[in-house]
Amino acid sequence: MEKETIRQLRGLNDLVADAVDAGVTRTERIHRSIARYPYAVLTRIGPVAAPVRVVEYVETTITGTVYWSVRLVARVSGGVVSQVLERLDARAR
Amino acid sequence: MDERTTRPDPAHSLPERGVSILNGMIGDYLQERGNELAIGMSFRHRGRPLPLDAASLHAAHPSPTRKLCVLVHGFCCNESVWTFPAGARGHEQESYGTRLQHDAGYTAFYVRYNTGLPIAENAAHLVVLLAELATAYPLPVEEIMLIGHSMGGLVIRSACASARPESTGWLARVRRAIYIGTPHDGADLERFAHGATSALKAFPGHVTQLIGDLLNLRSRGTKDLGVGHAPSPEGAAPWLASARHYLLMGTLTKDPRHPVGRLFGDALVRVPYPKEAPEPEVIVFPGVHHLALAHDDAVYRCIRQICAGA
Repeated sequence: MEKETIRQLRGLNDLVADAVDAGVTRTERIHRSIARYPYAVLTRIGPVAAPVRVVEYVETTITGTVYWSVRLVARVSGGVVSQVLERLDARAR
Repeated sequence: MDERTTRPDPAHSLPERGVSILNGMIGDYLQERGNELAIGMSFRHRGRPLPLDAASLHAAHPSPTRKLCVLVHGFCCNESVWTFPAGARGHEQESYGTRLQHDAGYTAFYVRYNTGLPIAENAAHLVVLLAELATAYPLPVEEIMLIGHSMGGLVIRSACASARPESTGWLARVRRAIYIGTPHDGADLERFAHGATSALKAFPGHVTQLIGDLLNLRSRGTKDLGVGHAPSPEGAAPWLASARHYLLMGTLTKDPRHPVGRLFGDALVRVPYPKEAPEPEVIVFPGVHHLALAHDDAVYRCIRQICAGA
């Protein structure tokens, strides 16, 4: 493989990592801001306010973990691809 | 020696074109992030970087001439845009540069650059690159002809305006500057994108904000196209007084006075009406769309006539 191609693949790998990170962060922000509305309404109703807060906490924790996992998987795969490209680059020298 | 070759040019490959498109869209971001996809401005020869040293120049141009022609491509393109369609299919790779070399004795140099960067920044890079070329060139340079397609014309105009004659010997050698499909008065499509972004962001909804943000991701080079006339802190870049300027424009319709042709121009750029003095000469090519202007027989004939003029 040509060095120029490896260089471009490395750049593409970095760009995909950036795009996934930015996309997940943006999606998470929109998700949270939309999900906040029903919780805000329900917590105004006295008898259900306490359980709703618990549900909101659980839901936020689960979705937060999911988004964090997506970011982690993307970073790890990006790192693996980066290592492979480094090795290919070293051979191409 | 003739530059024409049957060897495939990597500039025509899909990955290379993809990288150039990506640079046009988000090239400023790529450069800020230090991403290796960001293109650094350089001369290219048969799709590969041309270092400005004696050996490389001799290998690329074994029979150099005293007249140079520098071709600067447009937004989201690379130097492959200059290739006539037959050349792109693997036959003789002809372009305005190779034809000018063959017919008029110009030695052609093709620039590749990151079209997502602000026009003023690319112009500053071009000033340096041309100075390096003038220094490294094996013969005394009699004339430099600058040819820019689309955004490339704005980069040329801005480079000529920002170069200091006392420090850059090449500027005095520029006799002719040819702007092909260049939006000196700004590009309507970019102005539309700017308006759409502002309208979407004015709405409080999450989706409209998101779409507005995505539209706003376009590069600073793209945004500069909306302004046109090679923007600089001092305003519109002046035309280089010591050179003659030619605006070669296309229209979608065979009749340039047709309302569609007047409204949409070559699909991206409308035919301008120069208001400044000295007024550049405007030559219109009916029925030639924006990209075709970079590799059209009628346009080449016109360039040859310009070269033949005093």
